[in-house]
Amino acid sequence: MSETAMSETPQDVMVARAREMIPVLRERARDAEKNRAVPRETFDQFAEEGFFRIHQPERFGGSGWDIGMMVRLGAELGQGCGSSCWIFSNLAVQNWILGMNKPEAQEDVWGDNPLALIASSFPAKGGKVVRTDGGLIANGLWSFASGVDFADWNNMQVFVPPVDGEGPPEHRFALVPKADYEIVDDWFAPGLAGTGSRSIKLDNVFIPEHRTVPSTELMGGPSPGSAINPAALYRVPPLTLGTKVFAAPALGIAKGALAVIEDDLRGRSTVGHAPMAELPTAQVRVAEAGAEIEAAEALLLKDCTDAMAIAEAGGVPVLDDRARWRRNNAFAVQLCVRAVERLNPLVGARGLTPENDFLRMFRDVHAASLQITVSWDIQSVNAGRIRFGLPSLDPRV
Amino acid sequence: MADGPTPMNANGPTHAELVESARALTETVRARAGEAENNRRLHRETHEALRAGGFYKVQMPARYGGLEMSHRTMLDCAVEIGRGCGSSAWIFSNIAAQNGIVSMASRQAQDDVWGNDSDACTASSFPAKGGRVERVDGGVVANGVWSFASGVDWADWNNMQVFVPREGGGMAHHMALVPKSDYRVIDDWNSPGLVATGSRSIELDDVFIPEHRMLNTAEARKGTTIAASENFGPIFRVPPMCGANKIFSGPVIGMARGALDAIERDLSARNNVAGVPMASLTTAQMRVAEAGALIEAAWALMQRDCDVALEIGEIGRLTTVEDRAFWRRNNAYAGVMCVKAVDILHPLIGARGLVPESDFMRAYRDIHAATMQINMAWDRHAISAAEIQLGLTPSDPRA
Repeated sequence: MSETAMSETPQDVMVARAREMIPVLRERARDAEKNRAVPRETFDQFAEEGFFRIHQPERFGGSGWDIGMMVRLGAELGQGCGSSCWIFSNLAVQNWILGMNKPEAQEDVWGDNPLALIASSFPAKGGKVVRTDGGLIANGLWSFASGVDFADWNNMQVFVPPVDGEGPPEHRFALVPKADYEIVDDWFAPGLAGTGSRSIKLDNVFIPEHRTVPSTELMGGPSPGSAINPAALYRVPPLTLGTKVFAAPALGIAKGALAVIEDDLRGRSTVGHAPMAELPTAQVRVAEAGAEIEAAEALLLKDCTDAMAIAEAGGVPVLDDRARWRRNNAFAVQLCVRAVERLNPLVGARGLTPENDFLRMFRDVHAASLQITVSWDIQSVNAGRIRFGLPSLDPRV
Repeated sequence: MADGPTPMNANGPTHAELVESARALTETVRARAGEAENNRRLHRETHEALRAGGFYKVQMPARYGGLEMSHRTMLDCAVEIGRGCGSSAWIFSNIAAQNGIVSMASRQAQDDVWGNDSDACTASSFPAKGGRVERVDGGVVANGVWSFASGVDWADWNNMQVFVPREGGGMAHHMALVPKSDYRVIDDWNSPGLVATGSRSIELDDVFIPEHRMLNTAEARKGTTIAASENFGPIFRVPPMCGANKIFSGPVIGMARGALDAIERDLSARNNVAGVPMASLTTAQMRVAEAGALIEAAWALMQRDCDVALEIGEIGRLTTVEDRAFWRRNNAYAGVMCVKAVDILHPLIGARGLVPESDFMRAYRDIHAATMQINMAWDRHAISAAEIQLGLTPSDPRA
């Protein structure tokens, strides 16, 4: 009987701190939604607790903790405010991804300021890069820059045209400092409104080669960053296992939604004065939602454990593993969405107010589920193809 | 804990080793499964392999030569065996779990069962056809038929579920051990699924069962039977009917995986009538992906609950009604997910699957039978858990 296994780890302490924050996050959630921004005080608290640094390499003062920690923290913070949780996970994951980037890029971002934070973005509105001597030139809009309100850098996803004009473009991450872009306030989403996931605009910005990294170098096994960050964490593939960044908030939101409904039903009667809690149909809804959410959580954590075990043994995950992690991640989000939809009828018409916590969670979990890497239609088909030995439809898997 | 924890068996296999041995049996039991189904019993060789491999001893106390391994080990072994043959996994789990439950009975009962033979096997049964006990001096007297005695073909004992009339009215649920000389096997197992388990009934005629061979399950849940059992290890603090429900979900996850294996094997090599590879059909890809995700989620959920149960045992606290109700809910839900997975795959088998020897169709029959077990019944365990979730008193006496 090992005593150490039972004692509280620093990770347990942090998770408990996150849990204590749930009520205050829930109080602030409505304002975050109205303002389309996470409150500065929430951001400051997260920073002070070290949430953003859980996966940052130890050499830059981070915790370098296993990726499962993102799921554990997300499962708590999301119960209070889905948007705040989303900003936590999106900023925290970029600190992990930078740890896998080229050592020079890490020095550029953290050399003078190890607290520097990085948001990310995708060229959904047509942002383009071209090759130039020593790097890339970027022009146009990059969208969904979750965390941009607080970030010092942006790690953009870019599609680099092939050298000779033949074949598919190369997918890379490309880091730009905030001086190089302008924020465009175009985030008017009906869910996860508080994330303020605005676009950024770049006008002829040069990005040196050393601040870019092809996703093919981040497929598991040694990454460019492994040269200075030898820990197993930096050998885990971010674009497949790392999609927990989107599933973790969905899990937290669903847990919050269940807690709200349970609290509500405990004290409520029907118009016929029967206690709602005694209605078998209500009971089956909360039981099934509870089981769906716990299954999602167990699946997400198991993938993290499996991926870390492969990395720690010095192995490299195969294509089938990577596709499966994406699939499981998308499926976990499906389970969370189904759980929330299952609970929805129990709110009743009295829930139809702007400040209703459950309905905000309903909006948020649906918005979260639209993120492409958790899209069931896409990830399930790709995983099914790969099971049958067909090529992947996504270059990032 | 005056005695301190009983150490795990230092000479036994590790978790990974035992699971690997189980995996080595998968193909063997798959090859025998059709014939076993025809015979309505497992091959003796299968039972011998399970016994010789130490599988039945996974939850047996070290002092009798058992392995004292976690619920997780029992679960993962059942998944591997069940992938080949659901009935084999069912028999493994049932006999292995009974060894765990016998470990919660008195030391004298344990000596009765294992004192002379550490390989002695125990099956179990339920009085679905009206078997009754009445109180007499020093024990109970049993009369009638007890059913669903999975493992009875190989068992030396039967740990019957009995309802003992209380003095003030009502019934107290007990497990009651009887040696095989005390009962007659009735060959009434003609089930359409899990056929090869041979889960026949037993009949008892005025059989006296001494008090020391009986375990009051309500007392077991309270932890008051631990001292008399002299088994202080963490796994013995998880009472029957909650942690041990994995004896049913483990085989079920295995059956679902076996069904998925069969479909993947089949579709990888098959074209539709238009000559298009089945594997290239998007709908087939989605079915395989969803089934895979459901099964993996069910397995992850069960593994997590096993790990939590072990942690609770190691800390040395007793389980709460919340722990138990959520374990039971999750266990039944794992069954729901696995059945759903197999149902999602079902249309892919096509009419050519409609033959007695189809591995997929056997898994389909088995999983639907397995989830009829009352501990896998979602309708029941959903309600018990919800009562806890919503602050009511649980209505199930075994919660």
